[in-house]
Amino acid sequence: MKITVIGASHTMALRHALPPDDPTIRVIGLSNTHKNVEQLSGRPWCDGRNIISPRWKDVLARDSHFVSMMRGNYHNVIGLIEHPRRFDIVDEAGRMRPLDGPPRQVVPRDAMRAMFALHAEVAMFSTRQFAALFDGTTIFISSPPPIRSAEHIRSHPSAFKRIIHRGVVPARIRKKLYDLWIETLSAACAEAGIALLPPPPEALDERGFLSEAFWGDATHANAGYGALLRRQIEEHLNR
Amino acid sequence: MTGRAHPYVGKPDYQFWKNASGSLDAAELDPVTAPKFQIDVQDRVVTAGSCFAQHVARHLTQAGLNHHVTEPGHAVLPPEVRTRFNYGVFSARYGNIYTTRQLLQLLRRAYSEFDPLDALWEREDGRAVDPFRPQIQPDGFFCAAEARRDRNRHLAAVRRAVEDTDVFVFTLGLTEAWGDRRDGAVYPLAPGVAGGVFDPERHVFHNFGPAEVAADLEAALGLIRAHNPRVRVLLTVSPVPLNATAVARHVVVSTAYSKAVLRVAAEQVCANAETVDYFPSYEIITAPQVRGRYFAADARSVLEEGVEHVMGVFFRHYCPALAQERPATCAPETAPRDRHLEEMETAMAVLCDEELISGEAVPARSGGVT
Repeated sequence: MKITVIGASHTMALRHALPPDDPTIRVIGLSNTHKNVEQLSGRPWCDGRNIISPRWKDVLARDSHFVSMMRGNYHNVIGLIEHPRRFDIVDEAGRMRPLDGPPRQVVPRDAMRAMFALHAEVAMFSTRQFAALFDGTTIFISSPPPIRSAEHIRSHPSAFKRIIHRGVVPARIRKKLYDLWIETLSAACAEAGIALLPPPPEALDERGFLSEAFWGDATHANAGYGALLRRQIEEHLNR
Repeated sequence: MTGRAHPYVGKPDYQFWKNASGSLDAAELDPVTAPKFQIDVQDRVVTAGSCFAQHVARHLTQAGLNHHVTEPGHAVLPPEVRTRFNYGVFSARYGNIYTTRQLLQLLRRAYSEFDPLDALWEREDGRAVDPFRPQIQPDGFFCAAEARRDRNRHLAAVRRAVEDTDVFVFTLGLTEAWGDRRDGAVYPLAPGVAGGVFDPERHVFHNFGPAEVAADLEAALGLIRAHNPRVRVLLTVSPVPLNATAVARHVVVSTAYSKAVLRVAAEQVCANAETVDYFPSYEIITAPQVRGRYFAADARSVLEEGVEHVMGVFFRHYCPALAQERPATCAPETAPRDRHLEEMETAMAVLCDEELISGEAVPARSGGVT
């Protein structure tokens, strides 16, 4: 059975790892997908309305597994560049080690999790909509873990050029936010009965950040990471 | 022939049951006669009190009054999350303050005059509950360290509220309370109800009398004035009956006692100060003229129609500038978007689209997502 991957920009790591006319995997990146979902479904975001255009049925192969990579980057929206009111959260063990610099507001971990849960809800909403168009298994792949090096982020500011002067959030906090996002996503996937594949272990450094060999721009992984994803997807589906 | 002379001759209509507003049409009931002060739209108004005070705070915000919130929650949290975690419900995240002793102790804690022995309730699952605001988080704090940090931040927000406010609106709610026998700390809820473990050896019930309530209120307002001499105070009594009484008698009897005590204490405190006024929200909701119509089917919750009546009277007398302009119904508050978040969302969308372009992505519109 073929594999159709649909999602946000993190799908591109996978696309870059594929030959142009790969016979097995088709990757579809959706620009501003979730903005459309939010606009169409109203508040609360999941109102049960069918937001998928009927045209999708004509362009997608029903006889396919579905890999969702929706809603990948909100943890970076929250915590890549320093907010004027700097903040921190306790980690999953309830620890908070002091950091250099001005004091930070401790945002209750449950409140941050509740915020992420709203985004996970949107991810699941669009995933379920697309999953209904396929006969195969649906799996979910999250965005890659953060890049530890603030220097790498500063040297690849791209769209953040205008605000990068506010500072890159310390790696330890970025990792905590990512871990909490994954924890929230994992709960949402479990509730939806969808398997969540963790980042490939080979792509992580000793602290769980994205290893340097797989860095792309400030937030995305490269084709090497995409190759690991491909292997991971195929292994999961062939089990 | 001249009329009989007696003390009631020539008195205004509002002093006579038959002629007073509301006697013919309950919607016209307006028991405010001579407010001691008015509130300017720029005045910073701090709110606190029992659950009815939440309605008051919400309407003040919605009407455009300067509801001074010193603990609004971080801007990365969307409004629905902030509300769920009790940010902005009152000026600081203290939750419901039911008794005047609780108010006094909160202020003393904020100014390091009182350090309760029962500082934190740590649960077996590692989570922690603040004994003095046990429902401030839906499921307690993630851990004791987080709870302690949040408490310190909260008490700093209480100090800012005290020191920055022009008008302090406090709604007296209850006289019954549970406390710690060792140091007299008073809880908003009995230990065991929303955290903690009830210990009959340590936790003791007390039903405050009028002199105690008045003394605590005087002391609390004195502490506020010591840090903010210009403050004006508006007291109300919550019309919401007791949910339960710890006294072995009918809850209706306990409710009548509690409300009577609170009303007497408020009257006493107001009588002693030019800058402390009483606003009759309790009277508007419970007056015989309205025949109980402002209570919900449970005969306890106050319906929005009743709150609207109360706030209409409030704005007419205390903030006439807003009386005409305020919306007919109190819609949920909409907070402005955080500028940094908007910039980040825009930049992230650009970055992600650049990444997609690099992979010859299918744009959403041409790809068929409607």
